[in-house]
Amino acid sequence: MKKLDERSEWEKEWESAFNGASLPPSENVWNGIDGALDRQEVRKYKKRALFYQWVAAASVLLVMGLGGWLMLGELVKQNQGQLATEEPFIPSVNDTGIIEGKEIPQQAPNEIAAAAGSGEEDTVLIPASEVAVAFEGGEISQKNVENSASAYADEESAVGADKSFSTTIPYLFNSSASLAEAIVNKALSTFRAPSDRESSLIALARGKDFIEEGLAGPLEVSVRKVWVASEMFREKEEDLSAPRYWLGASLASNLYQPNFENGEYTSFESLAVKEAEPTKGNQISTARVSEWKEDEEQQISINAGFQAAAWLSEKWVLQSGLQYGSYRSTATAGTFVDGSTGQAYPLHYANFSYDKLQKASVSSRLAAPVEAVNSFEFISVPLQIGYVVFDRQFGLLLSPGLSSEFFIRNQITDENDRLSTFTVNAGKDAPFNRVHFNAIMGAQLYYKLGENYMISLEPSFRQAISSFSKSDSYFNSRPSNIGVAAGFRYIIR
Amino acid sequence: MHTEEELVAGCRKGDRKMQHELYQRFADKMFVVCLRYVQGQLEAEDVLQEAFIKVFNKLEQYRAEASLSSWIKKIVVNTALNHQRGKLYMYPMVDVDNLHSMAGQELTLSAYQFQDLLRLIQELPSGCRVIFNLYAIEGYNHKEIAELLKISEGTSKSQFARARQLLQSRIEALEKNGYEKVR
Repeated sequence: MKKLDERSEWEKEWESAFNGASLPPSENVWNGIDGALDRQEVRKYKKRALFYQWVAAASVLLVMGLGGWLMLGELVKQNQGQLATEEPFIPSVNDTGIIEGKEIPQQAPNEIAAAAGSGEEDTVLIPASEVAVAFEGGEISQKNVENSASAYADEESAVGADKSFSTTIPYLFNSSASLAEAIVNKALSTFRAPSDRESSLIALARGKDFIEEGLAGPLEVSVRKVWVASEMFREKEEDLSAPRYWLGASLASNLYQPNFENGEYTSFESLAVKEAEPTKGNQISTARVSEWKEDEEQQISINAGFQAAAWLSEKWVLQSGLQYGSYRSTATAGTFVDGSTGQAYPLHYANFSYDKLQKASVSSRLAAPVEAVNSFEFISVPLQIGYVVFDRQFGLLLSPGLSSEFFIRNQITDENDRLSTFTVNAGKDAPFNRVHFNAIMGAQLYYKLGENYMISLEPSFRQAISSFSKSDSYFNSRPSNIGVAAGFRYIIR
Repeated sequence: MHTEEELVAGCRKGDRKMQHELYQRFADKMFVVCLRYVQGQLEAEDVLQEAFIKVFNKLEQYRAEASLSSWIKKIVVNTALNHQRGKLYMYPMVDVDNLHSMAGQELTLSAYQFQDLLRLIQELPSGCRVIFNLYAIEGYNHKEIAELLKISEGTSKSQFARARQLLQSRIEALEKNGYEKVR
């Protein structure tokens, strides 16, 4: 008996019959390969883009954290610096009760130190009691300056009335440039008071009897400077506390996950078990329910919209807007054939029903798994409260909130274009609620371009807090969404 | 016309023209391989498409020890087998001890065109067809086939025997019906 393991001439004849055999396939084959290679390249690009997006987002977060840490540190240093320069304002009292002026401390900020000079030769001794009157709690009040000035104008003192007042109150006014004057000058330069503004403020001060007509010389100059600086500061504070608004537009890249699960009365697991049972003949279920959650993948999705915000105070912002989102995810799906039209469609959660469970021959294309793309379209109305962590040239805002998601449409397509697209529109026949709500956790890093514009980078995470699927659906869905938006804003004051 | 080395290098860089040229060079022969394993032209085209996508994705792994044609053919055969996985219908077991009665007079095939033989192969039950192709045409032995398909060696032998029996009887029937041998 011939052993079956030894190939006979018969087998060799079959082999040689097919040597060099060739038949041309249809053009569809190369078209399919070409398309698949294109999609692979796009996926690679998207993955690379997504990778760089996340690197960018992570870098932004790192920069924000670093920036915040550095800025907070600078603020602390500045406060410490101010405290350090303010201390020497308090003159020391010698044994005879006479106040001696202090030299400019070495820790003083540069401009103050430069403006101030040593002051030693111009120091003049004045009675401690007068110092206490004019120097109230460490603050230079224009009323007290005025009182001290007028007091010295009338009295014959050790300094004499004919001496310039800049030498009578050394810790306030120094003929070369005292520390206090330098601070006032700095305050004025910070607030950039134009000369006509200064004139109008002085006129206002005179009108209110805050500055006497009789003041003259350097004293008047210094008093005027203090007054203008304090007014400018007050106006700045008012300006800062007034609500501001901005309008903006943004474009976001997201990763969307519909999070499909069993419905209350449907068990897809038990369906999957039934599918796996052997059937008579060479037939299997076309639904392939057991594979629906395999290879479920988020895809790059986009979201674009307009926003508006109002600054409720220096630290709090109320934001809202209108956004359009088109979100995608892919999954393995099954197939069903519409008996009335003969069209074959992908079968997945959104269009599932028991009457769509069909069987086909194992070798039929209908029995093959489908790479399906689920795309969802929404109109979203977010409402967020923003807290300003810091607001400089750069700013950081944390913005939690809620959004209302208005469902428009869901389309289930076959990635390989073998099947027709199944569309689920919002409405009573759809398994999705027209509206569901998301909780939002977001942050915004913005950069001001001048006084009226800013650009922003906004990472955010959204999680459905109400069900996207209807209560009588075969499945549950509470989508989640993570993304980064780039925005441009116009500030209205 | 590029050499195989140039084609491989170009395809590795993702040059679409090179990929198309490589496809054109081997597609026709590989299509016949697909037709031997699956039923129907559409399904064979699906297998061919999937196989060539794998070829382009795995070209980095190709080493010049084997010929490019045999390397591609291996991928095509594996893709066809994956396509059939779970769908193989094994003909009821035959008694291998009685195989000697099946030997009989072996007909020559030289008189037949490959398209006719292809049709005969496609008429075989799926399990017999796959095992016949692997043993008779690809040159695997039964032990290798058993490992590949996760079946027993005995099953492989019996399925091949059944395939052989069916093919023999079909060729005899063709000849009896006055089938024209065109050569």
